[in-house]
Amino acid sequence: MTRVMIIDDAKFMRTLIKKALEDAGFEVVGEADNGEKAIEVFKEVNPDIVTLDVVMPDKSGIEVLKEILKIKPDVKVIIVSAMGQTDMITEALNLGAKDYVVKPFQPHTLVEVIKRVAQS
Amino acid sequence: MIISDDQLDAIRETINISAGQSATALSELLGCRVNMEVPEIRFVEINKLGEVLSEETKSFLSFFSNFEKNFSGNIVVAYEENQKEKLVSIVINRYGISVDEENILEEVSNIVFGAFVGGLSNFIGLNITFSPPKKVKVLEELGNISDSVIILGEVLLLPEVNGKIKAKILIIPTRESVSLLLDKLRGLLG
Repeated sequence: MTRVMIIDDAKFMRTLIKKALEDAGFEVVGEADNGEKAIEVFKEVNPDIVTLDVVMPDKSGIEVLKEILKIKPDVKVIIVSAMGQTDMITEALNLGAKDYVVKPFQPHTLVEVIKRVAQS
Repeated sequence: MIISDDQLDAIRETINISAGQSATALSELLGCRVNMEVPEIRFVEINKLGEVLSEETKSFLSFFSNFEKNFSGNIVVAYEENQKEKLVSIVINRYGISVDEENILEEVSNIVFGAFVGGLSNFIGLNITFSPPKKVKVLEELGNISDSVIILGEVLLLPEVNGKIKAKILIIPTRESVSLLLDKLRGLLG
């Protein structure tokens, strides 16, 4: 089973993503609500896939992306953010994110993206 | 009205998602990256609203609209007073238009509000519109609010044009609309 970690400062969004993923048969192995905690939990649970928010207090998702890719270069990161600007999407993809989902999204859209990334 | 921490978190995320659409629209309009900070949510006594808004928009030029249809309250966008010329000149140079500053900022506000309201509508599944933006002359213009305590959501947009320009979005929903929003958000979690 694909093991997913969710990083988002909003508990509401983590709950929404977790429900969508668990309903689709993914295992959610860890959650974090800020960048520092994300790194700790990431090392602890060693996920296959990470969903990562961008606008978070203290450390942005882009900084977290760089750090977790240093720790595990083959982890598959999907950015899930309200920020849909083209240059931000390009920057995240250039840094190594596998896909970018703009909030608000339909749960099935996110699940389809994660399935595709998991199989890639 | 008692609002739990989880409900506040959900309201904050709703404002984050909606303001993210505003940041994207503003970015397209100005042709630059627009960063955003995590929204802040506060409870404000209605008799303190004028005072709080005055403080929040001190040295800012503000425009407001009323939410319409299935949502009520106000949305305000405030541009840093000493930077607003920069914003206006970008629009003038980028689009080759020559209209006065207030008209340009009204249109920028229209784009910011339209994207915010579109994001909000799509997220919670409600048809919401807004009135044409108007410059705030006196804070009492922000009527339409009859609650004794209101929620004020605030988010900072930071266009990166020769340094950063500050633009704040303030959301002042009525109590009725907060209840409706919370019902819709509960529905999203199934």
